[in-house]
Amino acid sequence: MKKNLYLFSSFCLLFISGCSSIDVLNPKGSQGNEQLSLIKLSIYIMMLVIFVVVVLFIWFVYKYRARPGYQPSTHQENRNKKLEITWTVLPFILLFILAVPMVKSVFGEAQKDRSEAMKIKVTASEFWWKFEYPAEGIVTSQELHLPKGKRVVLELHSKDVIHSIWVPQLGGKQDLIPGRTNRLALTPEKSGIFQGKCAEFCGTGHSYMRFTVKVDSKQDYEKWLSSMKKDQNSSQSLSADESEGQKLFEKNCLSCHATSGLTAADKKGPNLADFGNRDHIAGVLKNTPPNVKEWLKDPEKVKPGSHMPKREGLSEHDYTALSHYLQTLKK
Amino acid sequence: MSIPFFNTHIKLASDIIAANLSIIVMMIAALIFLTVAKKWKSLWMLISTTDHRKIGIFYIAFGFLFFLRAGLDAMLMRTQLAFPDFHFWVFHGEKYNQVMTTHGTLMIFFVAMPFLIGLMNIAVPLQIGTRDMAFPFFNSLSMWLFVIGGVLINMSFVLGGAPSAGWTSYVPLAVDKDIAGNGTAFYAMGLQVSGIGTIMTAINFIVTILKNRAPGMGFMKIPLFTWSALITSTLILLAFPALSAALIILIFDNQFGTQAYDGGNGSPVLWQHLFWAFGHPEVYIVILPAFGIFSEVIATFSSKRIFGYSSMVLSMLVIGFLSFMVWIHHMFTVGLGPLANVVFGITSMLIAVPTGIKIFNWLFTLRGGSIRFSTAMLFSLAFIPSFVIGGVTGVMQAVVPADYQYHDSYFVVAHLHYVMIAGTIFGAFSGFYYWWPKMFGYILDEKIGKWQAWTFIIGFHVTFFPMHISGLKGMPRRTFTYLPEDGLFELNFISTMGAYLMGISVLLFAWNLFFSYRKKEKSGVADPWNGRTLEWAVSSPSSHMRWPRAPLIRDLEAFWHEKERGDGTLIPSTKEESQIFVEKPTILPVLLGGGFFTLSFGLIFEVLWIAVIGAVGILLLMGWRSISFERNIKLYTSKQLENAIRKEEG
Repeated sequence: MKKNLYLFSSFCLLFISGCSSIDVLNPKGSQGNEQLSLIKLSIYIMMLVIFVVVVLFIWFVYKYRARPGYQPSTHQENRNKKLEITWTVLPFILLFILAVPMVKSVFGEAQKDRSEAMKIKVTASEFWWKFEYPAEGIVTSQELHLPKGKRVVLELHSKDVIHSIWVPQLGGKQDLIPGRTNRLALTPEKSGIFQGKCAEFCGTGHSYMRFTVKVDSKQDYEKWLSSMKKDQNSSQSLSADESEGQKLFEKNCLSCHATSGLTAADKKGPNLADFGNRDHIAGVLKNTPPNVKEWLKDPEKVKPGSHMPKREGLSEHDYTALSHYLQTLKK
Repeated sequence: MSIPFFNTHIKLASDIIAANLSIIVMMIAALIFLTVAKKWKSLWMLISTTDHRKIGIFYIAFGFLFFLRAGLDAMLMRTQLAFPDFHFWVFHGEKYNQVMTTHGTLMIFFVAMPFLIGLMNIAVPLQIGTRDMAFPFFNSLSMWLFVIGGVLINMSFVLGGAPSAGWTSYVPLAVDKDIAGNGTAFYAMGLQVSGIGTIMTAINFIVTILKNRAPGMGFMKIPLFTWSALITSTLILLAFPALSAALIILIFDNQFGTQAYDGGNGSPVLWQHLFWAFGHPEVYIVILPAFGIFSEVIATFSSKRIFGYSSMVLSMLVIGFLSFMVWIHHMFTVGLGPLANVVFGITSMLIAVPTGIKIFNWLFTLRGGSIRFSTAMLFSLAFIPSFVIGGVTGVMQAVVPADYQYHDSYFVVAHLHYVMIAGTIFGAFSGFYYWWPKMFGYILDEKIGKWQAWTFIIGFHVTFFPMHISGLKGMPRRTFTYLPEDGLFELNFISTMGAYLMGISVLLFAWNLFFSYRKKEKSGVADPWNGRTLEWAVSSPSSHMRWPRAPLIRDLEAFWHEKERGDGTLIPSTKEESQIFVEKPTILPVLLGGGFFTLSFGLIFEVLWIAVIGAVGILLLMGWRSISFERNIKLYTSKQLENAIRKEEG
């Protein structure tokens, strides 16, 4: 029995350690780490429970199956105080082992001082994300930049319906509810690029309501901040094609989209400052000029439910120019 | 092409045309069958019946139709999710959300509930030795209201758009302008109408079980399935009014713009509280009767009395009680604060204790028995380890910070299907195979049955086990696609294959119904499994007129006791009854159902005069019932009933 238990627990360890490709089991932030330790503890306990049940199950089903020559004992046990007390008390003990670290973790996170942390205001709407850095006066959309090792408190707002912000590798999720302000703390410990998602079903475009989290070292983060504060793009001289695109942009797109990252200049649609450096268009397509064209031609087709309207009266050439211009929006 | 239809438009796209065609084909097939087989009269008799057994069959038959529809939805969803960024038919977008919502709503309210209430209708009066439910008219009306609710939800897809805010219908999304057609109105009216029926059923069962038990059946001699029916009915009575209230506010918000759930003037969280205050007990409403079925089946096929009967009853009571104190665990990420989260996390964990007691009691019922592997037993045995997996993931989610990761991910999808399918659906199938002879007087084929059981069990695990992992890999629930770079393709593809296997299994079950109907194995159907409880002491199918004198109950396993200690027949009590109450067949419940349908239709499509006709019709029919109900009742004395039965048997 002891040997079995040993084998069993090493199997569990194998199961968990062999899962580095599973986001939640491979966290890069301190909240994610703490949650993982609770997940691990509960998986161990629950594996034990499953093990006991399955062993008893197989044993009893095999041993007491009806077969020729088998005669069940005439004494049929219908009560057994000792056994019944055992399986009533033991679960309490297991649950106690699980509940204590849970309570500690919940209250520990709630009691942490909020004034120390950096604040970012997150606004979700159908079906995109806006991130405002109030201390810096800048705004981005679809990409959240965070410095490594710094505790960040996200202030969560929603424009329309309930959304939920989730970056599996940094930590658990929190809902964004219209009329309420929730908060979510994240402390990234490693730099890298992580997927963010909307977890609460929010309508047609829910599947594509994604964003990217870029965690940089302190210096790189500061560099990004200062470039965002500047009003110009890094690539100043535009080719003929690109400046034609710029004109088309100003005519067709500027009413909703700002190209400056300053909060003061922001408009109702996603902010496009630094668009050229983004990984994805609208959280869906890889950011390449042909894909930008595909997106502009029919946003609804690429991202069902998208509120971005189709522009009438643009030629193939116009779309090309626009897509080239958009790539120049780099900080 | 787009056809205007009252306040909405029906867009005739390929999927709508296909759905319409299939409805027309099925209608014509049904008409031809009824005419050729000369079944019109028996259909009329069936529709106007007040016999609990036939009403139970109706519940199950309609439940099965909705099961096929909701299962088809599941197949469409799994096909759309089989490959990353896949565009299957029309299901890349809003249509997916519609079938996803219909799948959830139908499966919970119009499949799980009628399957179990149907089986309760069939078995409970038999198990407690009474002749029918306490209120047979009520019973028929409840069933027709359930049918009307289900028809409303099913119609929505072809009448301008199905509900598409998920079966939980969270606001403000549910009242969003972007929701297609009248989806939310269909959802609210469908659930409201069937909910009224469900509450009436609950009252009916509570009264029947409390008042109409055969003499000698004290509380600790009630069979476990009947106990589960009693507790479930109590839960329904306490929980469904919360849903009704929530739905009334939803209807007002949706149709009249009252903004009670609005983020500005009202609170979207209010809906979640009301919905889950109903929704969590609902989980136990559909699991406790399944627990009851497993208890009956495992005891019967282990040829042994259930282990720890009193702790089984007690644990069901505790589960029922706790089920009202855990609803916040659906809302850990709403931001209600650490205290609320922790308290409800701990109460949720506590449910594991009574459930664990039940699991071990079932295991130790097997011990020392003589286990026969019938199809009913296969489903019950498969339930034990499968449900334990669903149970432990439930406890894992009660760990609040860990739930921040699981919540709204495929981990939850895996968990809820592990408890709903391995609990409720395994239980329903087990109950079908077990009680089929009592319903129809013939046995379902065991060979096809075993194929069906194994394909279903294997398909189930193949479908849902990988979802635990895709959830931990960051797949949010209710998404119609994922990107290639997410690394979710393999897991989703496996799930889809498993889903197809489950689809095949359901077809096997349908084939079994047809095959066994043709074969009609009728030998020894009164007590084919060597049963232990009272229902096996009457003929199969159970006749409406039975027990001229109520049987005397001497043991928990009344029939087994007589087989072992007596001569194998129940001793009739000597008490002479003077007022045995029989409700004559009546068409009124169907007409009332029609009234509710008209009212709902008018409200959904915002046509006042139709709604008024419906409302007035309902009131008139209710008035008619009030003044005519005595005419519809026949009273017997024990002696008269004895003579009537003798006459019927010739």
